[in-house]
Amino acid sequence: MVSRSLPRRRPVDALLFRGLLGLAAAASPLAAQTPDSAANPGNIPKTAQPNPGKKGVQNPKPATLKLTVQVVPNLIRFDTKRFDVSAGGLVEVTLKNGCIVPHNIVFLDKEAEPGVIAGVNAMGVEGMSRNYVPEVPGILAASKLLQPKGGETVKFKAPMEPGDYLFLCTFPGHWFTMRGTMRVRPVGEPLTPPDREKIKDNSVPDALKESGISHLPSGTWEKPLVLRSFLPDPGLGDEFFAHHGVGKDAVKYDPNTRLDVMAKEKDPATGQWVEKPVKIPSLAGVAAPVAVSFGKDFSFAWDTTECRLLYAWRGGFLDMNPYWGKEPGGVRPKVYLPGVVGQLVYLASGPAPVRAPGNPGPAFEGYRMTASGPEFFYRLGERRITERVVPRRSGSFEWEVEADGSGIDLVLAERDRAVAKVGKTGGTGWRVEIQDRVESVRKAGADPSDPAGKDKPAQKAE
Amino acid sequence: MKNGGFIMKAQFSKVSGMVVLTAFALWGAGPASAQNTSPYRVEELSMPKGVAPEIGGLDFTPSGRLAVVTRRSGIWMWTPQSDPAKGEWKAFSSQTLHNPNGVLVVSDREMLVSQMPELTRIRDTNGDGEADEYVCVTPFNLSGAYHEVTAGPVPDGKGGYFVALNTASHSGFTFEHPRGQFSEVGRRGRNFSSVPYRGWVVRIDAQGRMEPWAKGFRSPNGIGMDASGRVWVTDNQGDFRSTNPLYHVEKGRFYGHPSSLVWDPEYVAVDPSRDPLKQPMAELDGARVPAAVAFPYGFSRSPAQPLLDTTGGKFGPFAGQMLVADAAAPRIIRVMLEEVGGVWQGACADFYSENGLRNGSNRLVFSPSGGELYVGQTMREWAGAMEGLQRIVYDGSKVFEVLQMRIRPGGFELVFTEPVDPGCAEQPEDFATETYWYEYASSYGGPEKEARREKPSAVRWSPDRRSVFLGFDAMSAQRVYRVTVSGARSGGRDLGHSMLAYTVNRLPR
Repeated sequence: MVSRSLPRRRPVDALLFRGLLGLAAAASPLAAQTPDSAANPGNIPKTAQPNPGKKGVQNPKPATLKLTVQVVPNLIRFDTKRFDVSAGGLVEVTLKNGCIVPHNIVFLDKEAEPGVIAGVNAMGVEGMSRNYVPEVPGILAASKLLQPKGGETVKFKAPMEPGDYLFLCTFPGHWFTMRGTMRVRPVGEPLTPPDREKIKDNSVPDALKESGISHLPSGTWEKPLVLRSFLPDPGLGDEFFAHHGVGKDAVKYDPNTRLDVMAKEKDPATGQWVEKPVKIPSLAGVAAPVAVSFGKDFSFAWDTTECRLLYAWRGGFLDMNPYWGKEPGGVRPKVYLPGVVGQLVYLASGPAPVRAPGNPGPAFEGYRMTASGPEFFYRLGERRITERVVPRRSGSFEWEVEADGSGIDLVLAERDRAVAKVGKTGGTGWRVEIQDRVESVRKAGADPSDPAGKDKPAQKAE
Repeated sequence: MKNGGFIMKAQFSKVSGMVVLTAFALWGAGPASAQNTSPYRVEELSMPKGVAPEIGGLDFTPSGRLAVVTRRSGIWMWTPQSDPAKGEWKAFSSQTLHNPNGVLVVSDREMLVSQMPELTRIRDTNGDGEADEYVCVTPFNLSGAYHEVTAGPVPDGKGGYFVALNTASHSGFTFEHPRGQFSEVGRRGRNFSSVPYRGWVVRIDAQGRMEPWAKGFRSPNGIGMDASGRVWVTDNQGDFRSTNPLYHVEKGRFYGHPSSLVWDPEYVAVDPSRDPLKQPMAELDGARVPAAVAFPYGFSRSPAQPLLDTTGGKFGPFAGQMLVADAAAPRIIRVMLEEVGGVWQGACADFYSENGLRNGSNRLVFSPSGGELYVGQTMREWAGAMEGLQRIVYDGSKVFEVLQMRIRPGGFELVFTEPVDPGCAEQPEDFATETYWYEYASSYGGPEKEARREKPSAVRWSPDRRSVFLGFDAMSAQRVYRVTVSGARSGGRDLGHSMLAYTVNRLPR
């Protein structure tokens, strides 16, 4: 083979990375004729062999052009803006998807773009399963839709007619920036190297990884941690949520049709298959609570909508991985409520215990930090109430209510009377000592649609 | 970061592969030539260990300290130093707020922070440097969906504030007991508004009373104010949003995402069970305010905070224009706005992209000196995005960019920051133009419709070579004109960013 007799050259890309040798590469006519790199490290066209024995080289056999096109990670573009090929030559393009979303590469005939784009748009959600390659005229070659880290080689014959031909990614929207030109040169004309960018080491520091953040946060006895988040509802009961809205299961909706999504279900009574809307169950959560951690020994949560104690627990605080994403930066699961770590020792239930004449609803005003944790303020009509929870390391804890003005009543729920010892504060309020009791939990943080590990909801989150 | 602007030049120039090779050869052999150096560079700020550097709010205190509101690791203060690695970080709050996503500093001891359940006034009452009072200014309703974050507060000039409230996403659940009145009609939808006032921009007065102010938003993760007190809101591509828009927001108007209409008394007065998702598209289309700027999706994947350049030239030549962070691309965009026939419209271009900038920029603030732009990043919801805190530093040298893109009868005028060398960018081919439009559709995102290439019919430079008129035959409104400038040089230097996209709502007379 002729190739063996020629000196081996570094691939163009290797020179790009080395920089110092770049001038030599640019000056080399051989480098200028060899569009490929990795697949053909000698840079010798495999089928087009120079034919020094004959007079002239007007009509050599067209070359097989081997080229690797990469997706620039996370930037929705190809590294290759243009490459040259001889008319009628064989093309082997390997697409490597180093990105985090799927991509393909589709080679188009001249003027074919509008029809292809219209074809992709017409595919709608079906497009994904058909690689977003529509059945329309003007597609010279196409890869599959490649998942991240995927690769595929597309082989085809270049058009006979010289000129510029477009290649693009037909994943919807990507074609705005993921496009390049295949320049078909008349046979015998030298090919210039591809116009392509070096894929940079995207060396922006990963500040999150370096931070050492824990998604299992905790306070201490000396410095309690206040954390606001959604929290699970371990079984507070409807009466607890007197000043919340009443949620309902929802129906899956399709933005393309603007209709509800239907699924076939077997009617147990008749045995007939019927179309029913796909339900999305609601979740047992609390929307706007404040959670406080004193370390492993004691934690509690207080609700800013009902303005009352939610629950207290020992043995840990919260597992925030479901809500913040699995550390150090993963995605959140479908059911994203934080987990309560430890054992519940108190769970509120029934109507609110602190009552004002006329039973006005509560209005949260805020909290002030003290050495022993937050002191919560809220209003019941004209009256201002202050509450705080005083931790104890084991056995019991205290709940203090201070009322600004008279007429405030304390009415404990039936099941709380058994564990509560009510005393008076120095002012116009109560100090209630609450004995620990082991509270059973209604599937805290669990998928409400899946109480027994079956009956999975029909729809999937994205 | 070394030679950042230089590398970028090699990437973006439309030159041949040979020139790229040569450029890299030079880079490898010695320092980059001055003409390719970017006047802006990125610097990294390191927050203390144990702090997740996920930024929801940035602002400066009157004494010049940077307040950094993180989305899960408290609020931190830092006095800017010329060396970003130096200086002490001090916790203003060690509490974890619920996804705080906006801050307005009131004084060195007080700030307003919007978090998912409320707008909170946070104060250090005893002067020990750490906040001890967290006052609920206004509660916000929550359905339980993770997506109901806030943007703002921005001052309304009358002692109150504007806050933008996100809708929920169908990828999240609603609670059995949501906070706020639950609407089954509002719960339908890809992005939805099951509790008041999701999908609204609200105004909160000095007493904390909330007024629903403008409706039709989907995921408005950016709110800002211009020098004349106009409110500007960015929104995110998705259902009823073919691409990412920037809106000029006025009281009572509707901005296209229908779910929020269930909380509009006038809308439901017609019929309490009226479902905006079932209303004909043409009616919704007729009622909505179009985007002032429709960012091409390739430009902006997820626009976040818009920030007016108030530096008066300290940060380069863009005073009075807006910069927009992008939470899903390593990019900050610049917006050039103008009012034509009573309607706002304009162009966008890259201001800074890649070259050390992290993907995920969410919040922005200028340093008191004006020479630095602090950029806070978040990775919420976005693959590829990262968390962190950076600043873009302007070195004071000449910036060569398109300063303005203005519509003119029969074409556009491009104004450059520096005179453009004679003999370059004089052919119609040097201003390659594509035009397209976006359909108002219920589906998630949409294509550039009827995209076609157009060639300027005239290229006329001003005698001072600072502006060029590009003539177009038969221009149309309701289209985006995307112009890529080739070969424009000033003193031998290439144009920093060559692509501009102008949203034509109205043609000038």
